Amino acid sequence: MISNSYLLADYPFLRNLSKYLEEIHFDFEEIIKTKNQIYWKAIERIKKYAENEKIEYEEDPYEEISIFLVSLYFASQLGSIFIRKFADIESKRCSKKLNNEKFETIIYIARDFLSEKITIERIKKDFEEIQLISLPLTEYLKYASHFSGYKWSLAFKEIDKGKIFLDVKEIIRLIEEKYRQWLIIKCEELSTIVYPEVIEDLKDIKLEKQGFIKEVKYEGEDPPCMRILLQDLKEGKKLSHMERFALVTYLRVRGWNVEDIVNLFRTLPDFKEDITRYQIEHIFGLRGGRKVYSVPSCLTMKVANLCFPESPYCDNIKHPLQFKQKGKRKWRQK
Amino acid sequence: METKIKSLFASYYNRLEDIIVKEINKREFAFWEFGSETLVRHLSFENPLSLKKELVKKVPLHVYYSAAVYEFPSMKQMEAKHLKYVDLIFDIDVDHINTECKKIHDMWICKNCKKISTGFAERCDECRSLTIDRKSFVCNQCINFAKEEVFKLIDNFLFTDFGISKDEILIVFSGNRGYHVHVFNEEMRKIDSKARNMLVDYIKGSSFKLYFYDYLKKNDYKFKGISSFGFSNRLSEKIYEEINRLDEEKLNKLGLSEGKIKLFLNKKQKYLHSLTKYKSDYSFLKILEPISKKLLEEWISYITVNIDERVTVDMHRLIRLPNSLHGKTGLRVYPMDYNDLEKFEPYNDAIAITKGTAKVSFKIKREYPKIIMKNEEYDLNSIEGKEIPIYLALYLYLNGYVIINELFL
Repeated sequence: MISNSYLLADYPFLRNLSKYLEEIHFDFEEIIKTKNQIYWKAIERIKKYAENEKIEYEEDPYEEISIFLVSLYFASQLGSIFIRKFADIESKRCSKKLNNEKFETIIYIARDFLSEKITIERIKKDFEEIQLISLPLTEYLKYASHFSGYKWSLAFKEIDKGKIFLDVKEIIRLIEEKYRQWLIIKCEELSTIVYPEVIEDLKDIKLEKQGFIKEVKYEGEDPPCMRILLQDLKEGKKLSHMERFALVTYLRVRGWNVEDIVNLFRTLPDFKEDITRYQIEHIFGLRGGRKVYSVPSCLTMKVANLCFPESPYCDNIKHPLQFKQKGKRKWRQK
Repeated sequence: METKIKSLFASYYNRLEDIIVKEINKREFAFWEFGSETLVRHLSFENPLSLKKELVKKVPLHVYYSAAVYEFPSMKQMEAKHLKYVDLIFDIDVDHINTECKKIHDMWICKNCKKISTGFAERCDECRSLTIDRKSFVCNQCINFAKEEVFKLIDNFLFTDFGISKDEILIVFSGNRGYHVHVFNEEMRKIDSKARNMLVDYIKGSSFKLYFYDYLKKNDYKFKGISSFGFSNRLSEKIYEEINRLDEEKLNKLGLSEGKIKLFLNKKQKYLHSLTKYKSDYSFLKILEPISKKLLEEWISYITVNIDERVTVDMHRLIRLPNSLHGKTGLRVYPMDYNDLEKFEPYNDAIAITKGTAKVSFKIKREYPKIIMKNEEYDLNSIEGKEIPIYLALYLYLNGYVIINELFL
């Protein structure tokens, strides 16, 4: 059908990429060895990711795919924070493109990348025919569990016999998330292959502002929900609004100041200092309505899909701040 | 006394033949031994026979195994175990369910203001403290209620919504307060903790309870009705049934004003008709204010199941070994197929130690409920000093209600 090189240039995750690379005799080693035009264009592109500059994509599919693949390798050599930023920019670009595609093209891509089991069901409801896209529930869970907002929770959706019914916008959002995760995994796989001559060319590339983590000592341990959020942040993972909110309220209580938290957030792929600072100050009660926001309760964390109770230390607590030091609670027999 | 009870457990494990654990050599096992304060973890066994040998040798009070399948189950560090996949497990525990009978046999003491009261409580009704000490009892009614909840979970959620088949589940009576449902569906075993959290949220209706009003306000009080699939289908069916029952007398009792009652009853048929559709009108909730929130909560509670989320979400959870003995009751952790659940009687079928009698006396004098075991009803308030069957004595002793004065084996 629509499977041509133009489609691959926009969606390089499609399954026939490897076949295409074979056809064009794509030789990665050769590009690295000769440091040809593709190599330097990829270096230029990587600099643009780092400096938050607009990326110019090539019109020629051969060139675009080649530059993309070399950039993917370069990104893999620059550490997890860079990788996540790269994955974030590229996956957003993908969904933007998808939004302008025809319905058939979107479904073709979704079947190729998300799940072969996607079906289109036309059902008569209230005397009119409606069109629903069905996806295996487990595939939905893999990606939608990373989203915030109640509209993604299952009770607001229709589910039947292991299938979930979605609209096309939701399918696009799931493809975006899978692509983001796919890019991170690919980079992690590639990160172990090192060419010293490439490292030399990449050594000047640094993120505009590198994040640094300030360790603040306090009594006790972090509850698992907050520990996971902190860990995600340290690894440069993208956090949702709710995740950021919960973490800031928690760190405030733990004695962090605005400056420390702003610096902590520098690792985020979509970090913007002015917005971050404003929002943190807002939570601290220094802006807007001057209300100091408290740490969300366990119930709120659960509903936001951010609660990961670890037996037995989370038993019988209703608030993350009630989390006690390990070892002080007995193992609960069920 | 402990030695004698241990010998009863030992003779049970000696006789034990059915050890049902899929991929036994890839699971972590844990024993809680008699008189011990800690759980011995990171054990692993090559096959059911080697596990049985260890059970006979150690005679543990409680036996657990991991919901997870690991590459190296006996490694001490979780990361070193190399997790492969995890059975999806649901735990239904009457402790979390407010049954009518709790008013009779449960009591609680507030650690903060020392108030003592009966029934089910999340927090102290006097000082609102969450630190309360519960003294609960599981009667036949409680355990039957748990069974109803298991049916709701399996029929509505696992079968209808998630498409799980009968041969992909194992139902296990926990040996004490409820049931565990193990799901072995290959795709479900692969999902991570975040995804499991979404399933829990769905089954408990947590997000729905919080955000349904927001949703209605944003969507002009339109939501899916009976012609839809899943949660909205069951909710609208339940609402249809309940609205159909609402008449002037009931609405009056609920405290709705006369004007609103009239308005609601005038439009009742229209609302009922709308609920049968795909896109339904829920604006009756506006008329039913201020009682609508309470009513809606009640309706939602009929279609949701109060599972213990910690068990489902925790990827390294240990769960009771089917066919082991529960150290707090002496009952068998009883595994069964879906088809056997209807007829299953915990206080009959799960009784594992039958030979012998005992005389007991209660540690705390209070009102105790009646309990039916092996088809015989016992009024616990009048058993002191009398010779009672060993299984009842064990149940009460291991639960901490009584001391055993004499044991006749």
